[in-house]
Amino acid sequence: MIRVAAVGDVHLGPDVRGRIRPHLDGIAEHADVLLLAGDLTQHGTLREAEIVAAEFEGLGIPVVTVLGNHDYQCDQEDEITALLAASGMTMLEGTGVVLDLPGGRLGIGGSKGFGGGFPGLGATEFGEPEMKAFVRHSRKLGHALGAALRGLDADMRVALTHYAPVAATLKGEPPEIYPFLGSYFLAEAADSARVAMHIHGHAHGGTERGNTPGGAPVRNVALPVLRRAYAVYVLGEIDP
Amino acid sequence: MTEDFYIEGRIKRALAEDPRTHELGVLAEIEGDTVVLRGEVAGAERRLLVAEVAATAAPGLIVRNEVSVTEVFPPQEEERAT
Repeated sequence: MIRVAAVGDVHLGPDVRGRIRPHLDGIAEHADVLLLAGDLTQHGTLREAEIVAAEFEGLGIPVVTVLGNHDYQCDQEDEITALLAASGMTMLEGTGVVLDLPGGRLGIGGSKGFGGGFPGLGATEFGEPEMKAFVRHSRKLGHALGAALRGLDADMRVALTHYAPVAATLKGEPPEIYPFLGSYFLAEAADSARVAMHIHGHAHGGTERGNTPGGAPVRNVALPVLRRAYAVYVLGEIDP
Repeated sequence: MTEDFYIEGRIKRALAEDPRTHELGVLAEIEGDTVVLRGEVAGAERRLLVAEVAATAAPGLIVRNEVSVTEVFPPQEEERAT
């Protein structure tokens, strides 16, 4: 079995430094890997990224991360990515990683993802150039995520995004804003690679549990949804 | 009222775009001469800042701050997901 810990939307900054850290002590006894589902910072600054690095360093397990929309606010996403990578985190955007864990090889494909909505309730690449660009961006990120996931030589695959892949985990949010909270392109990517699970954040008012149309469990791990420092999901057979 | 509708829009925009806050999850509703703020933020300082930014966006209105700070509890039992 593989134990996956996950949390998103920690929104760290100087004023909430240490918000999670006290609960991370001993995490290696409970989990084999920690996934962070974006919105690590509030304003997307390097100063905040330094606080994120300190918050999650030295845990004794790999930390795999995607960025969220807040991490893009100051146009420093590349610098934030480099800083967090230098601190030891594995940063994913249209890419994947395979971790050789005691319970097997876990492949993680990640992307921030984007909006656009869900079939029948979403946007399409039609009309004004701005609308086409919006949906195209989402579609490209979804396709890159699918390619990254399918390319992983692993015993189990997990998709990690900031935006939601399905509407089910958005329940609690106003339906009018669903197109800004996720895209079915992400679920399509995950199902194309037969993932064991899809982890996301972003929807603070949503709910934790849902499934992709292909049946993979989807978990919204945004901190305001979990109300705990992290969740742990067990994948695969329980060890005898 | 028509004017209330636009004031609520102005406050929501300010909360999302003001560099002091960048808060997307706080709701603002006008009730008479009062702006009521609801939602959750990550820390106590941010709770005060949303009221400050809302007051700037809606001068002359009283701000009632019902925003709370998200508590972080210890991890619970694992879930078998497959």
